[in-house]
Formats: sequence, structure tokens, C-alpha cells
Amino acid sequence: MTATADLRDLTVAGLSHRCAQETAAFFQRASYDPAFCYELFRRALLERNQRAYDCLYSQYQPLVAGWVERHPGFPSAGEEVQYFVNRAFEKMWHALTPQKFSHFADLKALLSYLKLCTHSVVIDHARARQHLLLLDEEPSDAVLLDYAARGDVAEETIEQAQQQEFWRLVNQRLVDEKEQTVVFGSFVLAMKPAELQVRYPHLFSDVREVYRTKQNVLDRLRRDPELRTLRADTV
Amino acid sequence: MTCTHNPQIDDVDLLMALDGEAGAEVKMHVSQCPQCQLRAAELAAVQRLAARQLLRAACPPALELGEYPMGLLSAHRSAAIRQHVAACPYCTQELAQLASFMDSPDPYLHPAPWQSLQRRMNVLVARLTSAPQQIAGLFGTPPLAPALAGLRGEADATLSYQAGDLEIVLEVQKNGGRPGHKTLAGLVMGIDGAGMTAHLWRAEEPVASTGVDTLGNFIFHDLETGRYELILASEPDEVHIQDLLI
Repeated sequence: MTATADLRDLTVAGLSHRCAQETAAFFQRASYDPAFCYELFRRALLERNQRAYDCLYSQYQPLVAGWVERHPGFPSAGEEVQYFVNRAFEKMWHALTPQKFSHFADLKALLSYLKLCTHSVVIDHARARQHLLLLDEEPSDAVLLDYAARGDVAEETIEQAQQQEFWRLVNQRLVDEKEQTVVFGSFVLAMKPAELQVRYPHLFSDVREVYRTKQNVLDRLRRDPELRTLRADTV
Repeated sequence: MTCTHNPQIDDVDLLMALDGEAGAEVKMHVSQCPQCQLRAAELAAVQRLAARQLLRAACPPALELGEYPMGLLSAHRSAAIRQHVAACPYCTQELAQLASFMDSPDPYLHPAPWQSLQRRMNVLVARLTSAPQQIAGLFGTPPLAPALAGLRGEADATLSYQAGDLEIVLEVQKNGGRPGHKTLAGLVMGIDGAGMTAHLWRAEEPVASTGVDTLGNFIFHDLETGRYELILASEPDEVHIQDLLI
């Protein structure tokens, strides 16, 4: 046999078979051909082929599970490995649109992105936990379970967008650098006024000035009708 | 509700008291003044609400933050994130964690030299050269007859395929033991079958694998009826027979 078929002539089953064989060869220290696994990714992500996606999931689930287990944020996450594995694949499926696929020239680049997705789902979880801790809200098991069960990537994206929209509206209402510094530092970064005064001595001569600025802003934002409406929708 | 105690204190004093930054006089006042305690509780609630809405609200999503060092973002977004990261200790920390995680030893992404050896597989999709026919005893043609003579049952259909120099003949047979199940017998011609493996897939799942003997024969028993894909592998060559109705 000399000629080789165009990869696009192969079925998903045929590609899946070859991808598994090549992966096995890779780990048996034999030479391997990454083109078949790449083609499976292409079908799954570029053609949105659900069967190809399912095959990729089967093929790379153990790899992603290993990444999750080795992530420094995993031991304190209080979640099962499989939860993060599922979310990592889900995230890649949503994030790696056909438009974006052209950035990924080979299998290694795609797997790097899958690893990034794995990292980002662990970080999303850590951020939610951090949110509760920084707000001094006891992260009870029930609350954490609620976070864990909070829908899919799309829902999470909507929440992030709402939060960013709220921040944008608040930012528009800040009149000078002092107010921007106080709101960003106090509420976005959870810094204490004393820390802000130390960090920005050119803006605040003493800590009372930080508090005065904060009080002015809070008073104004509290009375803002548009923000009141948005808060009522999102709280 | 207005504070009636002297000396009167304002919201700035109360905000400082909430953080434990107020002086002794203010602390004493608040501890004895129900109006100021109520006002302090209101301010605490407003602060909590603002924090809940705004905590890390300016931070990019974790995935976008990770796409930044990978060079996957537009110049505009990259600049915005660079500026944000310079001011945000949380994102700075997450980027450091990401770099460490991505650089951690990983055989897939940082292969050892022996893992970088790439080869080129020759994969052919076989072409059907003869439609299903009710032919019995096709495999009786010498000198191949002995190989399948003991295995052959009653043939339902025979199909011939061509893939490069290879010719593959498949015979779907009734399965004597189990009603509704079939046997697939195959013969590969044009190659020494030794070392070749036949893999059967159905609906993107592997069903069975079997060796091909030196004469090119292989057989699968007890197959449910349906559409399959047959893969004949003898690395670095492989033949795929698609959409095989059994």
C-alpha cells in the first residue's frame, strides 16, 4: 500500500481507532502519528460533531483527570475529579469556536488549550470559594454545593457578564482618581482603607480621607436609580 | 433616625468603627447609642452588598486570563488585561499558578526525545468492488480453501473490496448458535496476513479484535445485526472498510 486516504474520508470510528492506537504507541515509546487525534478535534470543534466530541472525551478523559489531580488548587477544592473533568471538556467545547480553531495548528497546541481549560475550571471554583471567604460568609457545605451545582459554562458566563456590567456602571459614576482608587481597592480587591492609604499616599494624606471618599461614593451609589434596579435583578 | 448623643459622630466615624479603626471616644459612643448602631448596621449592609457585587468584578474570566499569555487574544484585550494584572494581586497570583501548572512535567506537552519520533501511517479507505451477492463457497477457490473450510457457514452475502494492492473479501454468514446474530468471515489477498489485526467497530465503539492468519483469513462470531466498520491494521498500513452492513 502506498497512497494514503485523505483524513477527511475516514469515519469518526476510524479516526477514533487510529487515535487510540497512536496514543498507545506514544506511551509505548514508539513513533506515532498525531494527525488522527488532531482530525478528531477538528471534527468535534470545527464541525461541531457530537460523535467526534464523545470519542475525544473517551480518549482524553484519563489525561484530563491526571491534570486535575496534579493541579495545586485541587486538594482544597472539595470536589470530585470527575466534576472538573466534565467542566473542562464543556469549557473547551464552548470556548474553542470554529473561528478560534485556526490558531491551533497541531495536536500539542490543542492539548495545551485543553490543559488551560482544566486550569480555568479549577480556578473558577477557587474564585467562588474565595468570594465567600473574603466576604466573611461561612462557606458551608450547602453553599459550596450550591456553587458547584450552579449550572453550566453558559450560565457562569452570564453571571460574569452581569458582574462586569455592574462594575462598568459603577465606574462611570466615579468622579475622580480618588474615588476610583477607593472603590477598586475596597470592593474589587477587598483591601482595607489603611492599606489603600499606605499604597497611595499621594492621593490620601491620612486614612480618614480614604473613609471620607468611601462614604461619599457609597452614599451616591446607594441613591442611584439605575444601580438600584440592576442590584434588584442580580442579588 | 438621628443621633442625639454628644459628641455627634458621622458616617465616616461609623465606617471606621466597623473596621475597628475608630478612636476610643467613637467606640464608646457607638456602644451606647442605638441610633448609631442601627446606622452602622445599615452601612455594613451597603458595604457587603457592594463587595458581593464588585469583588473581582474587573477581573477577566479565568479562561481569558489564561489565553492572554498564550497569545490568543486581540491586541486590544491583551492591553486591557496587561493593565488589569498590573493592579490586581489575585490575577497576578493566578497567572503565576497557571505558568507553573502549564510548565509542570507532562509527557503529552513536553515529550521526551523518544516521544517526539513521528511516523506517517498509511490509511486507506477500501472501495466496494462488488455489491452483496448470494454466493456460497467463494472462499473455496484454491489455494485459500483450507483456511476457512472448517469455519464457513451458510453465506448471507459476499462483498469484495479493493484498497491499493489489497483485495478483501467478506462473507456475512448466519450464526448457527444464536438466532439474529451473524458471523463475519474475511479474506485478505495481496499481503502476508501475519501480524495483521482485524478490528470491528460499531457506533464509534470498538466491538472486537482478532488476528489475521498467515493465509489472510479472519472471523468474527456472534455479531448483532447492524452497521459496522472493519479496520485491518498492519502498521504502518491500515485499511478501513466503512458502512459494513452485517
